[in-house]
Amino acid sequence: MTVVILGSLMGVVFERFRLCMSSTVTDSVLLGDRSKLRGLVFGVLVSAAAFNALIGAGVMKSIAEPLSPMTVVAGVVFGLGMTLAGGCVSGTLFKMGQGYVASLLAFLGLVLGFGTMGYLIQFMTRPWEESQAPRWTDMTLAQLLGVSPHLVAIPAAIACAALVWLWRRGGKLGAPELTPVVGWTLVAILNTLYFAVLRQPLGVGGTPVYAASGLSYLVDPAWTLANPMLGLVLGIPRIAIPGAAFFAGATLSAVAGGRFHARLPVARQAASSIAGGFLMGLATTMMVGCNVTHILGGLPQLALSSLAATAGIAGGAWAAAMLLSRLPARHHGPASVHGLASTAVGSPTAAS
Amino acid sequence: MPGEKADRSIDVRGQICPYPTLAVRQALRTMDGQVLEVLIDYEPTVVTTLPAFCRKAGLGLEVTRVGEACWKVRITRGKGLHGKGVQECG
Repeated sequence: MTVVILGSLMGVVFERFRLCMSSTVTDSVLLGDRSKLRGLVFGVLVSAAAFNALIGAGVMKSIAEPLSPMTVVAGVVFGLGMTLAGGCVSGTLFKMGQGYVASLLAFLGLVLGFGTMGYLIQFMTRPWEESQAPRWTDMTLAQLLGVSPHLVAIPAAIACAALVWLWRRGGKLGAPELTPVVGWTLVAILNTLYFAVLRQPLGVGGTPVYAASGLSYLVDPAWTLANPMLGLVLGIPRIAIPGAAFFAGATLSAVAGGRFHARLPVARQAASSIAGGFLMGLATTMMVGCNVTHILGGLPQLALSSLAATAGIAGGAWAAAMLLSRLPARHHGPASVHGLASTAVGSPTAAS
Repeated sequence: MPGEKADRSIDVRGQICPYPTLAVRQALRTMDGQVLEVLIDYEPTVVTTLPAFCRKAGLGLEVTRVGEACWKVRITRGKGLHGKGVQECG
C-alpha cells in the first residue's frame, strides 16, 4: 500500500510540475534556459542531504546498482533515447497520463526494447548477476573511501541552505523560474520517505519490463520462463507496481486539473517516440535501472554506477539535442488534427 | 503588439518535446520579421519552456487558447513587450 500511495503522489508531483529530465537538458542546450536544471540539481542536493543523513544514522542502508563497463555507454544510449522519445521513463508515464499518444508509443518502444534485450541478454554478461558478490563497483563513493555518509550529507545541506539564502537575498523566492525547484524538492521529500519505508528509492522502469515479460509469456510461455531476464521479472510482479502507481497518480492529476486531452502525433513524432523508447528499453537493462533509479536514487548517494550513468545520460541527451538542432524542423502540422486547419501567414486561425 | 500581423506562422501540433522548441528556435533564427506565430498542442512547451525562454531572451509572448488542448503563441522580438504579457494557460 505504501508503494501505491507514494508512487501515486510522485506521479501527481511530476505531472503537476511537468518535471521532465529530457526537457531539462534540451532547454539548457537549445535555449540556454537552466531553470529546470537548477531545480533538478537542487532536488538531488536535498536528497543527498536526507539520504546520507539517514544512512549515516543507520536508519537505512545504501543501495548502489552494479557498475560495469557498459554503464556509461548505456547511459549515452538512454540519453539519446529519452530525447528522441520526448521524455525519460517517468516523463513518458506522466505524459501518457496527460493523453499524449506520442508518449504511449514511447512506452510501446520501451516494451519492445526490454523484449529485445530479453533475447540479447542470453548471449551477454548480466549486470544484476554480477552484483551478487560485493565488489568495489557496487559501492557508493563514501563506502569506497571508507568515510561516513555524513561527509556527503553535511556539504549537501549547506549547499541547499546557501542557495535558498541567495535566492531570498535576490528576491527570487516565489519567482516562476524557481517553480522547478519546488517540484524537485517535493520529489526529493517523497523519495526520501519511499527510501526510508521501502528500503530502496523509487524506480519506475519495472512497469514496462514487466509488460514486456507478460507479452513474451503470451507468445511463448516456456521460452519466457527460461529466459534469464524476462523469466526473472515475471516471477516478481511487484516490480510493476511503482510505475503503475506513478502512472495512475499522474493520470488522476491530469484529469482533475483539466489537462487530460488525447493528442495524436504526426508521423515523424510517432517514429521518433518508438525509436526513443526502444533505445531506453535497451539501455535501462544494461544500466540496471532507468534515470529515476540512477539520478534521483543513486546519484544523491554518490553511487559509482549512478555517477557513471548520469554522466552518460547527460552526454547522450546533449548529443541528441545538438544533432536534432541541425536537422530541419517540421513547421507544418497535421492538416486536420483537432479540427484545426494549418495556419497561413497573416491569417491566424482562431477556432473554438 | 497584440493583433499585429504575424511575419511567420508555424504549426507544431502533433509534436512533443524537443521538436516544438527546435522549430521555434529555428524559425526565430531564420525569420526577418518581428512576430512569430506558433500553433501548438504540447502544453509543457506553452506553459514552461517558452515563457522561460522569452523571459530570458527579452522576447514578448502572448498565449491564446484556441481549442481544448491547442494554443496560439505569438512571440514578438525587438522593442515593445520585452517579456511582458507572458501568461500561463492550460
